[in-house]
Amino acid sequence: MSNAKNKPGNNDELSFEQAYSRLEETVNALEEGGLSLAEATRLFEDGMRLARLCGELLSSAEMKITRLQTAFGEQMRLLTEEKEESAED
Amino acid sequence: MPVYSVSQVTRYLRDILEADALLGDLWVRGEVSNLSHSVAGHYYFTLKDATNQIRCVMFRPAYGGENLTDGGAFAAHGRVSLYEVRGDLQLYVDLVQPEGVGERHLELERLKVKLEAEGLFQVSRKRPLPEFPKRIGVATSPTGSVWHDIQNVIQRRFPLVELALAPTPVQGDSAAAGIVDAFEAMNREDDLDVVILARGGGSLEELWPFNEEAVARAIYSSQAPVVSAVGHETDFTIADMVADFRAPTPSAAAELAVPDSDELQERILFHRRNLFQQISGELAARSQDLDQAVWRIKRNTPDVPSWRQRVDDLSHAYGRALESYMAVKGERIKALESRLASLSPDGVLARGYAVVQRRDNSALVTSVSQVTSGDDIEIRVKDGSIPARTLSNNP
Repeated sequence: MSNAKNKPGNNDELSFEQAYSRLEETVNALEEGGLSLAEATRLFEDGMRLARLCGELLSSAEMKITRLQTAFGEQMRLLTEEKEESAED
Repeated sequence: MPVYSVSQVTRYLRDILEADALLGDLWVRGEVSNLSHSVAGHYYFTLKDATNQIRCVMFRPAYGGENLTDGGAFAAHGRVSLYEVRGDLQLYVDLVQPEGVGERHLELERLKVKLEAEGLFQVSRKRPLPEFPKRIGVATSPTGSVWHDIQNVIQRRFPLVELALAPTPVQGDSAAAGIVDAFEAMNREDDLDVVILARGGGSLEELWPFNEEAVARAIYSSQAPVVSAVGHETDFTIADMVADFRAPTPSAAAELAVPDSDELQERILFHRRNLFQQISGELAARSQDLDQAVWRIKRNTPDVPSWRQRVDDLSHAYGRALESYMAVKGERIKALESRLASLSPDGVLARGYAVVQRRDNSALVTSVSQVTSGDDIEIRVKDGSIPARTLSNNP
C-alpha cells in the first residue's frame, strides 16, 4: 500500500488519500518558493493534475457493501432461504 | 493437646475465612453506623441489621464511600477476613451502593470498577480515527433502520469506502455472544480502518447486552478504533465507555467515521486557486526580472530610431546649409558676372567708347606712337566698325 506513494508521476494508481496528500505537498512546495521557473511550472501542472484526479475520485465513487461471516448472519441467511423455499411450495 | 499461640489461632482463622469462596466475594446489606473517615481516606463503619452486626473497613479508592451516611441503608461488596492485630472479624469493602438499587445495577457498578481498574476506559489508549478510511466494519442488526441510516450517511458523505457488515442481534439473550462474534469476524479482516457498533434507542433492558463484560472485552480487543452509538444520547453503556469514540446516534457515528465530500471538493478548489496564485506570482516576478533585463540591454545599445532621427535632422540641416551656401555663391557669381560684363569690351563699346585697331595686324591702338599718318585703321563701335585712315599727327 505504501510503495505506490513513492512512484513518481504515476498518478492513475493513487488512492484518494495519496492523491490528496500529494496535492497538499505540491501546494506547500510551491508556496515555499525558491524554485526555478521550470520547476515551479512543473509543480503547478502536477498540482492541477492531482486536483483534477481528487475531484474525479470523489465524484465518481461508488460505495461498496460486503457482508462478513458471523454465526448470526448465517442463521438469518438459512432462515431466509427456508422461507423462500416454503413460499415456492 | 497442643497449646497454640494467639497468633497461630488468628492466622488459622484468617486462612479459613479467606479460603471460603462465598466469603471471598459477596454483597452484604445493612444499616450503616459508627461511620468514620480517616485522614488517609479510608472509611470505617459498622453494618447492622435487626439483631447482628459486622465491622467494615473500606480502603482508598473507596467507590461510593462518599455516599455513606450514618443510619443509611447500604449494600456493600467485598470479602470477609480477620484483622489479626485486633482479632476483629471485618468486611473489607471495595464498593458501596445505596440500598434500593437493583442487584443488576450493583453488578454493573462493580463491573465498571473492575474494568476501570484494568484500564479499559483509559483515555490514553483511545485511538484516533483515520482521516480517509477505505474499509469500515459495521456491527449491527442487518434488519431495522440503523443499518440503512449508516449506509445513507456514508453514501451521501463519502462513498469512496467499502462497508463491511458484521451482522449481530442487538438485544436479547444472544446479543452479547453475537456482538463478540461480530468483533472476532472484523478482527479477522485485518484491514478495517474503523468499526462502528450501533443500535437504536431502547429500554435499559434492551440495551443490557452492551453492559456485558464479554462485549466490553471484545470492543477493547478490536484492532480498528471503535465508534459506539448505542441507544439515545443520554444512555451510557459500558460499551460506550470502552469504545474509542462515542456518538449520540448511528448516523452521527457514520458522520464521525468519514469526511464530507462537499467540504473536500471545496478544499480542492482552494488548493487549485492557491496553485494559480502561486504560479501567477512566479510569472509576475519573472516578468519583472525580464523587464529589468530588457531595460539594461536597451541602455547599452545604440538607440537606432533616435539615431535615425538624428541622421534625418542632420541631412535636412545639410540641405538647408547647402542651399544657402549656393544662394550666397550665386549672388557672388552674379555680382562677378555683372562686373565682368561691365569690364568686357562689348560693355565698354556699349557705353559709347570706340576701340581702334590697326588694319594690318589687328593690334589695338592705345597710343599715338603706334600710328603714323596714312595708316589704315578700324574704328570699332558698339554696332560695327568704321574703316579709316590716320591723318597726319598735328604737333
